[in-house]
Amino acid sequence: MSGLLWFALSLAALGQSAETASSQDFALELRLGPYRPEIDKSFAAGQGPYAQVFGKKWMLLGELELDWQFFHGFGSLGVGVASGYAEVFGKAFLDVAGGERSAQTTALKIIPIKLLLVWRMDIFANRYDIPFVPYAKLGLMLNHWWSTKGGKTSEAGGEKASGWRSGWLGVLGLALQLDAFDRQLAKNLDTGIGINHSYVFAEYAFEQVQNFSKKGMNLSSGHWMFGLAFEF
Amino acid sequence: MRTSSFRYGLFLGVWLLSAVAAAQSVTLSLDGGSKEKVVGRSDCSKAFLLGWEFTISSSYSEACEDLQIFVSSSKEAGSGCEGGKEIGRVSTQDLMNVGSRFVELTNFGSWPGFNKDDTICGGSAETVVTHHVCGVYSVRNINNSECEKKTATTLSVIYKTTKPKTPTLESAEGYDGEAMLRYSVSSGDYVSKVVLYGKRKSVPTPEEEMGTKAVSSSIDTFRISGLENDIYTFRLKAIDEVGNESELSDSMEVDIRRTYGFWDLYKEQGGGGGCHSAGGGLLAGLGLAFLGFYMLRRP
Repeated sequence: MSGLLWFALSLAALGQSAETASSQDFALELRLGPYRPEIDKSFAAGQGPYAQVFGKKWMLLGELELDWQFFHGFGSLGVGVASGYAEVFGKAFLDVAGGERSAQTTALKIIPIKLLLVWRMDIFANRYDIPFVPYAKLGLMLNHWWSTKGGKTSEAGGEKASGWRSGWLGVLGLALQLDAFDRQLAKNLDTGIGINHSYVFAEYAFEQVQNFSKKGMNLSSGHWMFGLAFEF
Repeated sequence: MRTSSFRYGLFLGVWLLSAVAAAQSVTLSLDGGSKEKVVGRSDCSKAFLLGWEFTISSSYSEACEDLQIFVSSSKEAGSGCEGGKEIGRVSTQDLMNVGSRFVELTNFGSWPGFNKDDTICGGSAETVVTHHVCGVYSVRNINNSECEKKTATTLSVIYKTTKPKTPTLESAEGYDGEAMLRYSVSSGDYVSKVVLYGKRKSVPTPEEEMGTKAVSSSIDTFRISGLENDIYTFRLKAIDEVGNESELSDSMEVDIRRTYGFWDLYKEQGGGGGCHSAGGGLLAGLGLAFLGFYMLRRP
């Protein structure tokens, strides 16, 4: 996937050349990773509704992030917004004890929205050609969640299965700058379409999402994410 | 490869259209441009409007005889609509006023084919009579100035009083006050809708109509909500385009049961939350963050 994207961008940059680098103000990240909220931590005996219905399934979380890099000095500092989508499906039970399964599908769906402060330690990559860029993010987040059964939003005791949960998050990651693999192509991408740097990255996100420890659904999680990033 | 195929296809299509246009100058159509119409008992006293369109192709100069509309019920009319009964006519003068028009045909009940096998139009007998409608006209060839007789496309008007085949309830399941019934109806039977009848097993009430669904394919699902979690018995009836009703299908019993999804179990186990706001703390934080963002952007 990343190879295809790299190839497409390379084609777009063909035929362009200039010696000066364009200004770098933004970063765009696309990432995917497994996500499993800690809903069951609020329940005794370690067997909560998530495990009961969805078993050991993880959600697949996809996210898109856009940062505005307002400071370039000792690395770059930026503020960013990110959002994504995750869902998991299981079969509903025919009894409250969770014995026999029905053919009815039940699901949990989450849309996270994040506001981030992002620091990328890119001076080693830019000055000494060491292609690794460690980075850290700190931010606030808001998760919209809802649960469905039979294709419709569930309801129990007159309460709709839908809501918002807020919290904070911290992220540590390491990005591999792809410029090192083909300097000329990287330069052409910059002069052609204004992409200063491209990366593949892995990061660990620590999210505390339970309305700052208020009672309710605990959507906190610790999970890995992997993706592609572009600075432009 | 794909481009070449597309070009050849386009060429063939244009060639075929040209060929049709050159050979055919009168096009007949029924309601909405269709080539087939199903009618029933209630149509027997009606006089249909037949659409016609006359176009002069490059090889012909004018219409030189009236357009005659014939109908036959035994077989599709051959060249010249031999053996058919005339049911309408468009004058040469009207034909030459080029454009799409309508002609009123004679009363449908007077069309041939209704006295065989003791059937008459509007009678109680179940029958299917297919009427083939065609048109004959003449146009003058510009090369030899002679009038050439031509036949317009044949249309079908099907008089149908037979019941559609009885539909079949294939399978059913029910959860949380809702039942999903998979059914099949016969294709080619002009079925336009199905009507569902049902009754609760635990309550001694008569069977009642529970809903109607338009039929778009021969196998489909009837979804009905607003039921109790109880055992229901369902039957289905098919109705065709002209109102002929089938027999009721065999009944199918559905045990509609309550299910427990993620949210049900979450609440059953004492989980809180749902439909709640994110709290003022976050909103204040977001507000401050946006204020900081705005301040940083100021020159």
